[in-house]
Amino acid sequence: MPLWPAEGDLMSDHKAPMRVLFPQTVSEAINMASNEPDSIYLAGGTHVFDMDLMDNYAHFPPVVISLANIDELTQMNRSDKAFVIGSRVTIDKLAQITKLHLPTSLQNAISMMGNWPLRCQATIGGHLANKNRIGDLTPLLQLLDTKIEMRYQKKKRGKIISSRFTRKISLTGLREQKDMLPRSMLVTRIRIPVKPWDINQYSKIHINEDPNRILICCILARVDQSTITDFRMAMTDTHTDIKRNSELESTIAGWKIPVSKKEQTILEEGIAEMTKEWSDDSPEKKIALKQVNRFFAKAFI
Amino acid sequence: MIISFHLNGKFITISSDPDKQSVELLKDELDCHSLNHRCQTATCGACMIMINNKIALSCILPAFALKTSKVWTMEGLAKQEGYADILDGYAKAEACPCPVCAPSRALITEYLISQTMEPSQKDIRQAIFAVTCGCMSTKKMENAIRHAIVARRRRLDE
Repeated sequence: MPLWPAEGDLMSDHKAPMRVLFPQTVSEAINMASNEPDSIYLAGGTHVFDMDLMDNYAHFPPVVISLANIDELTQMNRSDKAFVIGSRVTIDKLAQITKLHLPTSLQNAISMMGNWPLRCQATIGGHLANKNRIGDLTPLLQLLDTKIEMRYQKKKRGKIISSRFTRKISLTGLREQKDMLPRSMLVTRIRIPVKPWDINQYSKIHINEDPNRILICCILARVDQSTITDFRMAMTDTHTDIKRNSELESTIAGWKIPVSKKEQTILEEGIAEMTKEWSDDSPEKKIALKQVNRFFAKAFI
Repeated sequence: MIISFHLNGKFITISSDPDKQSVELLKDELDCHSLNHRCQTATCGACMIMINNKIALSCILPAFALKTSKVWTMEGLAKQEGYADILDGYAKAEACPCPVCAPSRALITEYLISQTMEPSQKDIRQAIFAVTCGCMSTKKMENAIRHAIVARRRRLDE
């Protein structure tokens, strides 16, 4: 296969020219998406156009709805309880505004995402709404009880009953219902609660130095006088799903640090249950347990 | 598609396929030869531009995204007063980036300084690693950035 395709090859793969639409408001964007069945929304575009030369020409969407002119999607607000961030806010901006108020693990997670120019282009909405891959920040934001506000056109018996129906949904709900949500659905805002966490850990490990094989492990905990009062843990390989064990989390809340041998056994069994879909000798499973042990060792310190 | 935007301070109108990579459009049709189209996977940083006061990798930026934007490449930066501070900084650090990465290094230095005149070690490192070229040591690059900031401060104080 030649390194560079011959011009004829490109022409044969190239479909009809891409059409780009530039809505000025969210309502306009939603209407356009409803009327264009082959369209996609585009904010930063880092997941759409990050292919090599051959793939670029093969996988361009036929219709793109550029969100670049919708100012509402870049607004940011902060209250005592939460950050409310427009979906077009870049990942780099997110790192800047949340530096002092959200767990340091979020900063760590962001710093491990691509390079600085990519983070200046990629948007938080695009990152969370990507159907093909679980975003690096998704498990951590899920643990932080992040909610998504989305708007879409609501129809009943083929008639539009609301052109800007608003709905708030958790990140878990967004992933579980991704195939049932209307095509016109546009993520408009992300709400991240501001709550203090005493210990937080984010790990992103490349398995066998393979850039496409990643394990992300996030742990948050509140500790009061050596007793864990709240504990949350999530893991993902970014391709299948985000693994959590709410029973284990409830069990761990109430433990004292350092954990006893019996509690260590419960922990190992809980992790095994959480990661039962991974084979017993998979490096992901071993690394998952190692990360959790590392957390408890750090908590003890 | 007709795409109108500001390139290096000049208003440009050009006809292009909307899905063309910006790096190709800027380099081949608008004479921005400072841009290099190397990795095509947004990792090397050699295609870096500034668009609407943010850095971006033009290999993953479709041409239509330039519409109504303000774009700066090395060609435009080199004509600005602040460029002398970057040259000064690099000279003082004895840092000589290769021709492939030098334009991106200059852009990322300018962007960093425009964001903050007191970057942390972490900020400087993220600027350094935005361009993956092994022509210079990290330490030299860091010194170049710090000297550039000193030069910028001196010029602004005058």
